[in-house]
Amino acid sequence: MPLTPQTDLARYIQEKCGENVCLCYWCQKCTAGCPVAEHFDLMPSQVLRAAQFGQKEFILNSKTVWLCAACEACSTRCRQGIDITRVMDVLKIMAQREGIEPSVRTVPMFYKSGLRRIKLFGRVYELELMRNFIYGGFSPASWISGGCSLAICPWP
Amino acid sequence: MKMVHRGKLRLLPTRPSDQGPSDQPTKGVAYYPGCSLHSTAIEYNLSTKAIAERLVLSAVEGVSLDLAEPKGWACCGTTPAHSTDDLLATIMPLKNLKLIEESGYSCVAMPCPSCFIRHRTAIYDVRDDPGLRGQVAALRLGSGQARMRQMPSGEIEVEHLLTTMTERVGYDAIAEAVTQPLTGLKVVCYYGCVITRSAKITGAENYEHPTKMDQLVEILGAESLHWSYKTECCGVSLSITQLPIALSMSRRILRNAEEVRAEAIVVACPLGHANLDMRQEQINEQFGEDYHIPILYFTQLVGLAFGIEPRKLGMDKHLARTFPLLQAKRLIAAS
Repeated sequence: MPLTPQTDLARYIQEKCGENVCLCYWCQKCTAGCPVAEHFDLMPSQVLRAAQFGQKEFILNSKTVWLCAACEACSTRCRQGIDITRVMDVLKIMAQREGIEPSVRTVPMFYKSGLRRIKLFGRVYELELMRNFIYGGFSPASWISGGCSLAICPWP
Repeated sequence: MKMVHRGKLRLLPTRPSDQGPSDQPTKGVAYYPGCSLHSTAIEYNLSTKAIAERLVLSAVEGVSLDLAEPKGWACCGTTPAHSTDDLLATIMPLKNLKLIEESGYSCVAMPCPSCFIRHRTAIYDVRDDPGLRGQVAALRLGSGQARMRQMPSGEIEVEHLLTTMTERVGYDAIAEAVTQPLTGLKVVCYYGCVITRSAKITGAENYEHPTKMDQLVEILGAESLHWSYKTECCGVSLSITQLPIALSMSRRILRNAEEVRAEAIVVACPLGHANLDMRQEQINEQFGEDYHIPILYFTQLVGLAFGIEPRKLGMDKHLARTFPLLQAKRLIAAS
């Protein structure tokens, strides 16, 4: 495997965040330390491997990109110094820009609604955040159960 | 409803212009509380202000913690910004830093690790990437507003409140102000993910095994126990979007704390507190556990050791009750 990005995806990631996914030699330390790995369909190391080969759809359709909690454990431990959390961010942004149907829908919904409130108020509106927090977020049932705060802040 | 009742949630959103008194720039440290400390983590804010006040009063020469909140700060963008737009995630913290710099400070303390890491990352990115710097400078901020030509000079120092307490104020000054040692209290210190990580941005030395909070706790007279989940992730915003995952992650932390027989978990993160404190009941229901571990902010613990009245530290605002523990340790009079 050459150490310079050979595929469009790997080149795009490098251009966007400066991280070279081709440096990864698959030691899987990122996967071993990831606290969310048991809920992923692709392990962090598999994401990097697929990125080396430019398998864009394969990655962007996975749950992993959305479930990553950005706790930075992988980035800190990577022997090759790849900031994997950054790579995940680039992939998340890419999936949203390209309009790919997210496999975990609630996550981008949370981002969108959060940003909308921040734009509106300048700060996070915590009452609404807590409504989502308490009633499990973004299902129609939570609209009804969280109706009280909904009346104040109509969705979306 | 429990949270509204305890004064943790306001019905109307706070806005940047709603800021309280405009604090005059002093030689003190600017204080950027972040959105959480005005509502869900109000006890963190209360206790920080209470101990800051106490430290100013009992200031040893040259050492004080005079936290002044700059008027008009806005959200740092947090997870929604850095996951949807890299440029936005850089601009929002930079705007705040510029505001703080214009208010005449060269250092800012942030109690929220998420705000802390976003601001540090923005500075790091802009310094290292001339392309991004150009993009930020060329951007118009709102209609008719000036361009962001003058970026913050980059000399402003962003610290987590824990670092401010342990390094700027110093262990000695804190030890001197202790009037009621927390003898016999066994706690574990939970740092959370991003106070120390990633090291290139935070500059932390012991990023896998931080000890600052442990040392602080020992100085207060309490015992800090060894455990394995110091910097483990609590699930952060997955608690809103994918609840079952977050519950299982928070449960592991509570389980380890229980295994080492900790009487309380000391935290430095509003979201970590939310996940461990407010979700405890749900974790008990879902996994058939029986956890009743008080989750305290480190500032509350410092306040207790300073002899500040527990209600002033917001001890009544937790969902996992704290008073039984305080009574058992004779830190408050039994009612």
